[in-house]
This record gives sequence, C-alpha cells and structure tokens, in this order.
Amino acid sequence: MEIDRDVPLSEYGLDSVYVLALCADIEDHWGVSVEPTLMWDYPTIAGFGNALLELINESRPVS
Amino acid sequence: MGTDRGLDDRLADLERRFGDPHDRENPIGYTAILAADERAEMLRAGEQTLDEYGLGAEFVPAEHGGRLTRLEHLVDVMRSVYRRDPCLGLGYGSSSLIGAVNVWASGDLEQCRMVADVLLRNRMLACAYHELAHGNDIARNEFEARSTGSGLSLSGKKEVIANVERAAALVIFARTDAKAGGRSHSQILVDRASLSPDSVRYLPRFRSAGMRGVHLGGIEFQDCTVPTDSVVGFAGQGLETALTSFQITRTVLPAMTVGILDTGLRTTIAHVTGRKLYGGTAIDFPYVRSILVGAFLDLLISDCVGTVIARAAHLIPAQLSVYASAAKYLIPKIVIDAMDRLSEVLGSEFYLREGDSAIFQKLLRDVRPAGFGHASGAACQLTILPQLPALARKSWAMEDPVSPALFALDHELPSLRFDRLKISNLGRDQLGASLGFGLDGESDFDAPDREVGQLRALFATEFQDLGNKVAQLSPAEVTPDASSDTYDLASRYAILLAASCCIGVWRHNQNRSDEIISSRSWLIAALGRLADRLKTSAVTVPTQADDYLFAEMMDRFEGRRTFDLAARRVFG
Ligand SMILES: Cc1cc2nc3c(=O)[nH]c(=O)nc-3n(C[C@H](O)[C@H](O)[C@H](O)COP(=O)(O)OP(=O)(O)OC[C@H]3O[C@@H](n4cnc5c(N)ncnc54)[C@H](O)[C@@H]3O)c2cc1C
Repeated sequence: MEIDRDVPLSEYGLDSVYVLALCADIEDHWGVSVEPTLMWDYPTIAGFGNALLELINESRPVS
Repeated sequence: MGTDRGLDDRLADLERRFGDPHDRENPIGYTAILAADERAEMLRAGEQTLDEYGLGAEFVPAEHGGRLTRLEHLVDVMRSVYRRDPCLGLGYGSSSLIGAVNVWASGDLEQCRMVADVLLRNRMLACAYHELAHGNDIARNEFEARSTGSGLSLSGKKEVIANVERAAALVIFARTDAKAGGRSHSQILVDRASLSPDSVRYLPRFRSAGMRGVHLGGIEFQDCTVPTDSVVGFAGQGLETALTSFQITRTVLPAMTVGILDTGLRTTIAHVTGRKLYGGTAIDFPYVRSILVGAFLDLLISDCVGTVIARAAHLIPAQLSVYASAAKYLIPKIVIDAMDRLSEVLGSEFYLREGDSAIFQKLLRDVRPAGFGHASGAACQLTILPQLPALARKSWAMEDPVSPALFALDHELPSLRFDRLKISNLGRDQLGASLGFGLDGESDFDAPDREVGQLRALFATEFQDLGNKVAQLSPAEVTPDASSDTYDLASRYAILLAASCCIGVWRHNQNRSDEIISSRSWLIAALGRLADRLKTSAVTVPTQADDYLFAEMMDRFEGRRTFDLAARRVFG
C-alpha cells in the first residue's frame, strides 16, 4: 500500500487508541523519549517525522 | 497516623448509620433494600444516610475541600457501601466519581471548584460517554460540540447514562473535531439547570437486569448552546483525559466491588451453617468448604491486587496504564466467578427472591456490570496487549527494584497526582518485573522457604515464557483484530501481576505477624489459586492451608469482621 506523507495515519485504519504502543519502539530505535501523545499531535508521516527530527536534534549534545 | 484514624472513624460512623442489615425494621436493612430493588428504585433512606454522612466529599481531593487523599481509603469507604447495596455504590457514588476524575485530571480551577461544590453539597454528577452505536469504542463517538464563535453548540445522543436526569452537572464526551484521530474529542462540563429546555430531551429510562434501582437514562441535545469555557482542558484533549483519569476509576471501582463478594460469602456461610442435610450440616461437607475457602482466597487476592495497584497510582503513576487495565480485567472476573460458585453452594436459595438469603440473588445480578461497564474486560486486554512487547523488551529483565512502599501497607505514600498519569507505560513495568527479582541466589529474600521458592520460580518461569511470546508479536497482531490466543497473553500477564502483588504484600508485611497476609499458608494457597487460573497444573494446594484458611474465615464470620485484608468490624 502507498502511504501518503500528508494523510493522517488514522485514515489508513490505524486506531488512535492502539497506535500508542509504537512510541516505545520509536524510543528504542532513535534513543529519544517520546510523549505517547506525539502521534496524536502530528498524525501524518510528514508531520510526525519533523517533530521526531526536532526531538532527536534537541537530544544531541551541541558540539 | 492521623489520616488513618480519620479513616477508621469514618468507617465506624458509616457502619453505625447503616445499622444491622438483618433487622427487618432497619430502613437500610436487606428487607428494605430488596423491596426497593423489586420496585427498581434507589433506596431513599440509604441515599439520605449517605447525604448525612457526606459521601460526595470522599470523591473530592483535599486541595479542593474534600476528603480524598488516598485511593485505598476511598476504596475502603465505598466497599462498605457496596457491601450493603451495590445500587447505592454505583447509583449514588461511583457514577459521580467517574465524571469527577475527568475534571480533577484536566479541568481548570474554576471547573474543579464547580465539581467540588456539587459533590460537597451531596449533589450528583453524571458522566455521559456511552453511545449505543459505539460502546467501548469511544474514539468513534459522534456526539458533537461545534464551535459557533460565541459558544459551543451541542448535538447528539448519550444513552444508558446513570443519573442523567437527576444530576446537578454533566460531563459529556463530545467530538470537537470531525477528523479521525486522538485529538478530536473533549469533555464538556455543564450545569444541567443552565441548559435551555427547548434544546434538550430526555430519553425513556433503560430498565436493567441488575443494578435495577440505578436510574439509567438517555439525553438528546439539539443545537444546545453552552459557553466555550465548558471544555475541560484544551479542545482535543478528551481522549487523553479519558485514558489517563479513568486509570483511577478502573483501579478503584473493581476494588470496591470486592464488597459485593464479602456480603455474598457471608450470606452463603450463614446459609450452610444452618442447613441440615444427610444427617449433617452442609458446611461440614468438604466440597462446600473448599468452595467457601476458595471464595475467601479470591477475595483476599482481589484485595491484594486492588490495594497494590491503588498504591501504584500514588507511587509510580506513569506506569498505571497497564496496571489499571489489569485490575479492571482481572478483579471483576475473579469476583464474578467466585459469586457464581457460591451460588452453587446456596442451591435453590440463590434463586429465591425471598427468605434469609434473598440478598444473594440481587448481588449476583448487581455484580455483573463490574465486568463489562466502564471498559469491558476485552477492551482492557486490548489496552495491555500492544504495550506488552515493549514492557518485555525494556523492563522485565532489567528494571530497577520498586520501592517496598508499594506493598508495605503501613508505609506512607506520596500524594495522588492526576497530572503524572500517562496514556502508556512507555516500556516500564516495575510491578511485573518484581516477579523476577531475587530468584538468582534469593539474595533479596529474607526468609527463603522451599515451597514458596518453588512457587515463585514457577511464576517467574511463566513470566519469562510470556516475555518470549510477546517479543514475537508484530504491531499488526496487537490491534482489535488480534486472535484469541493473543488476547490470552494479556490475561496471563494480568494473572502474573496478581501473583506479583500477592508475593509483594506477603513479603513486605511480615511485621504484621498476627495477620493472615504474613502467613505462608495464605501465600501458598493464593499462588496455587492463581496457578489454576494460568491453567498450570504443577501446583496443588496442601490441605492444611485449607484448614487454616477455613478457621480464619469462620473466625471473621462469627466475629463480624470483613473478609478482606483489613478484617474490619462490621454490622454483619
Ligand atoms: C448499570 C450501568 C450503568 C452505566 N452507566 C453509564 C454511565 O453513567 N455513563 C456512560 O457513559 N455509560 C454508562 N453505561 C454504559 C457502559 O459504559 C457500556 O455498557 C460500556 O461502555 C460497554 O459498552 P457496550 O455495552 O456497548 O459494549 P461494546 O463495546 O459494544 O462491547 C460488546 C462486546 O465487544 C467487546 N469489545 C469491545 N471493545 C473491544 C475491544 N477493544 N477489543 C475486544 N473486544 C472488545 C466487549 O468485550 C463485548 O464483549 C452503563 C451501563 C450499565 C449497565
């Protein structure tokens, strides 16, 4: 299935209550702690990606 | 401990006001309670008594002028009410509490004051979430609150709502954004008297099999304008507020229903001690005894789980998401199963609506909504399930030990902070992980005991096995379409958590040597009972445990003390 970066994931049938579990995986993968509600605040791949990138950048020590 | 003495006084006061349940002239005795149930009415005298006692204050945090400081105390008080009449418990008490927690979690000061005022004046709050078309699936609720610039316009229907026609204020779960997703709903708090009568219609009452006295109504709004500041929290915060604040009610409501089992067990013992059969007394039959002792154990296990998870709300609130769901899934199941088994012992008595045991048939009907109301067991399993892979991976093998205060009943607790609740555990589970602690070398175990050690090892192995199984689950397998085998993993997890609660309580209350929970007989029997639920045949409970527990149970029955951890004096 093609996923459009700008279409909310809920439109692909991802249940808003049960999507939360993914946050723990994201934490593992990227090493940043993510508020579980982040996916609700940024419901598209594009929006979520940007928000995540910001978190990752913030958590990097400034060199 | 000042607050505890306060609690003892309150409980004694409440019990005194309730009086002897067996006194036929007592307006709050079983005769009057059953008569009100036959008429499908709330017990007026009971409501008046609770008004005089000021039950509403138990639901209001101390900072807003009420008596709510510790969840265990709230449970204790409400358990007394459920022991007497579950309709009073739900219809006068819990249904207001369910609405109030939304406001304590996300409301502004003004809204908190308004709700506190309602409850402190012994008025009611109705919590209107349910729409017949959507059930547990609240994220798809349609009731709409549309912004009109000058206010919010409410339209839609809410159905099967306790006290909707007599509450002073309503908390309504409404859609504030047409989009799907987690930021499309909000709670709306309204003063019922301020609603324009032309735009609100009440639906006919829903009649029910149990909880018959509770007024279950419906309400339909059509373009009803309310002020914009009726939104609790920010617009779109509703699902988050529901998923956090309801962790509190999903913890305490099941723990309260333990009171129903208390009266159920008491009623059954009373019957079988007087019942002559085959030249003996029914209570002397081993089969009858084992069912009674089993129910007593189930009650203690339920109380251990409810107590520890209520303490977790204070101590590790960010981990409450899965614990509250486990409590809401498991405790009603244990309590309802135990009531069903007791009904077999009562024989035809349980089916009669009159006679000395008549209260039992009412309790058996009243206990049922504990299983499906306020999130069904399956919905709770589905809150747990998607979180299990991360818990297993990130927590179970490597978690920091949890503070003994979680289990040690005399320990003080930090105050309750609604703002610390999170919609997901984010891979942390100190209560579950504690099941594995101390197994290598038993280093942190003070009193190694072969039998206890074996049982603990059995549960730890089960836990490891569960960890291996959930690690293999893909995200696609933990959605509402999950197979029943997958759902089963969530129920196994809940049973393992229960074992962790029982072990913790036993181990950290050894100073209470006069009490049953510090005895190894209780722990061995409780773990055996939980192993039965796991369908692990490796454990058989030794019969001397049965004798010990039977003696304790009868002692409490005769001494008119409750069957839970607290063993409090009651009116019987
Ligand atoms: C006495 C009483 C008082 C009540 N008071 C109130 C009140 O004051 N306010 C209020 O808003 N509501 C109230 N209700 C309604 C109550 O909240 C609903 O009954 C409850 O939410 C369950 O919804 P449902 O019965 O439509 O079940 P459904 O959601 O339709 O469930 C049907 C079946 O599907 C299963 N199921 C549901 N979700 C899932 C899932 N995620 N995964 C797997 N299986 C699932 C369930 O386990 C069940 O077996 C009350 C009900 C009663 C009986």
